[in-house]
Amino acid sequence: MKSCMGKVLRVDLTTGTSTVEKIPDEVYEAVLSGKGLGAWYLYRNIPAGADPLGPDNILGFCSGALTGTGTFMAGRWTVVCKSPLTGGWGDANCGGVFSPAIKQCGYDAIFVSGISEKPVYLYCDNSKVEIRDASKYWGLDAVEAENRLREDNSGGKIPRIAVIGQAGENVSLISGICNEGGRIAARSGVGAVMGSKRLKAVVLAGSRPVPCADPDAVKALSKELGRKVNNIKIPKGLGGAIWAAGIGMGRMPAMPLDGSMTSILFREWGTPSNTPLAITSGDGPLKNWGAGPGEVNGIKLAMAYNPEKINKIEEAKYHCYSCPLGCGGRLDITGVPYSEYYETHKPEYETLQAFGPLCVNGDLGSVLYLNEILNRAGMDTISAGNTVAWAIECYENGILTKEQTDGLELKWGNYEAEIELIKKMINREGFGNDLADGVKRASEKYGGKEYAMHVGGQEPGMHDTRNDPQLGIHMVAEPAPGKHTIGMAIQYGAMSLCDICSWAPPATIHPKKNDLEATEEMALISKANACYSMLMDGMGSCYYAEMMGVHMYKAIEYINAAAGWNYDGDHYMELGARIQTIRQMFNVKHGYEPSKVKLPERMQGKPSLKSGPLKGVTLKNDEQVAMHWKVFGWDEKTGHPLPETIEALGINRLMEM
Amino acid sequence: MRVKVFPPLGCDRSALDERSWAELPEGSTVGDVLRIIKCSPLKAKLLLVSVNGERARFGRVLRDGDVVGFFSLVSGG
Repeated sequence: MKSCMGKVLRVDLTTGTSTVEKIPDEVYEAVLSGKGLGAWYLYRNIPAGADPLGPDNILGFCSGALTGTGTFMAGRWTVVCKSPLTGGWGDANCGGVFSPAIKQCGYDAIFVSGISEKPVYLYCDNSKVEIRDASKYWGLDAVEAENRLREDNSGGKIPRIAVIGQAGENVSLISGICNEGGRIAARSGVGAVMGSKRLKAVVLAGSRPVPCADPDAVKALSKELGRKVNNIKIPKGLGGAIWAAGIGMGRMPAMPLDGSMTSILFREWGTPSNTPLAITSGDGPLKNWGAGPGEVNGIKLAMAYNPEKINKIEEAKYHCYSCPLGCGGRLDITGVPYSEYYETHKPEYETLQAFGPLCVNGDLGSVLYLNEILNRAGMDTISAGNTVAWAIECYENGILTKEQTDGLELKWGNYEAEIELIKKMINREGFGNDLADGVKRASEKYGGKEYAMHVGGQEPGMHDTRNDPQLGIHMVAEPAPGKHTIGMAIQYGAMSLCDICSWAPPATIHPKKNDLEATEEMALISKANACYSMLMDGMGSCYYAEMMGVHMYKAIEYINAAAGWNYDGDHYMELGARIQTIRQMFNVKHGYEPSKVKLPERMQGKPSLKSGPLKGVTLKNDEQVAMHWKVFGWDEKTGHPLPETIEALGINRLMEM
Repeated sequence: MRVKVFPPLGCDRSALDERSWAELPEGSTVGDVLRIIKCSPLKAKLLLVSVNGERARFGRVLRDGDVVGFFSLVSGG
């Protein structure tokens, strides 16, 4: 493939050796790079039943097929492994500048197996691959360690570094891997796998050029996208009224939308634009997924998370590699009284929602502080927030006592207790030790399973399945369950996939309640969502590029230009289906039974909420998931990919390469 | 020519096909689209009417394949 390096690096930490492996062109044509290449490689190379925290598990750092080609918004790096959190397929991705650095060392991916006897880090540049002692960095948080590693490896090209904090070192099953001062590939427990290998960091300082079939065509597409992203401005101060729009949005029918307009929101406020909208519309879970906005003083909470407040303390905006949007920012948090840090990344919506409204906490400053300590420790804010919310609900209902919580008064809105509990979780101290592996394991020890929000072991992202049954399908059917980034109804309405894919149903204007039914149309939509999501992950492209829609972010044109191909949307959607099917085959190979993965009853609306926009909503999630599997060509009862589907997608032949 | 249109709530979609495309004569403008979907100029201005993701005047002449959109909130992230 003309936009890829054609090679991967394999490192064995047990023996301290490394090899370079060539990847056949047919593999790239079938699954691209990124998550696709990772799925192909891990399916073939991790033995069935391997311990996720043992030497046989492989941790892969994958760049995207279009990363480094000049394609805008294609700078995501994806970490893949067998997940210790779910026991099945695991992946997480992140922005920043680490993804092109993988290719600049000459590889499309770096796969690490084995376990080192002592802490080490991996160093690569154009000519060297070295496993180096990391004893002096072990124990440092991700930001400190990254800074020290950068200083100690200065002199040539500025190294790009992926690193774990204390949570990963302590093998917390909800830990992730950081880069760029605490930005984190958070999901699936990828940090625990890195910690279990005693691999503190991967330091990349290569400078090889990345190939591209038609750089002029790619440049023209990027120039057009950049102009559009920066063209529309909105009046200042509008962020303070988003909560009111959310009230209307909660009552609106589903409808086709112009996805290009999402760029305005993310450019102006980043994902925090979503918080007040989510609180009042029903999109954001409240009080551990157990209340409507009226029960938690939702409007007051929404005002507390007005994105203009966050913009007021923004020192600077920043962009990921090759991104014209720039949804990131650095915040000055010297005004947060209990913070020892003076700045933090602008928190994502997920973090704000998880430690704010989910815990009925209206103190923005406390969430900014939690954002920084979790980023530094390398702990997933989604999983940690769901776990803290469970603990609070258990405490409020007498399932947990003050003795068990080490004296913490875990009450709704008690952010000081939230902070103390998170510190205990990061350091695996006392009660925190039992929560450091997520809510499933904590509830198995203490009870309160009815309050434990997880899907197949992973805590769900901060979008309510009762508001969006389409999301409910993905939360369960996705091979890495609990994720919120595979598909949503509102996102489908904005993407216009029907304009690139012959079988993707057009988005229609219809009452939201129609989405509660298990229909073939719903299943085709969820299939289209999943296929397009896999395609974008294989390219290394961003979720927010996906949300812009196919008319704004021209993925098909981009990939044809960069790779020198001339395929249509149907071809690439089949490629996405192939990646998704291999990921599910990985699950089946490792004994992960898709049919046993269920949404928590509360997330299905059983019983339904008594007030608010989600009042009375109950999902038919089991039926919808079965229909999704069926249209994917997977067994509708077990969720196992059918042999004829595997054959039709060419996967058998692919696995023999 | 065909133009993709994303009308705001309350507008008339009857001139659009199921994939939200409208058949229009060559030389049609943004204003012509507003007329067929029955969107008032004030509403269109407030909702930042755009063509291909760029702010557009009502007199802008459309081309085949253009996308006419309006500001809308999309949750996610």
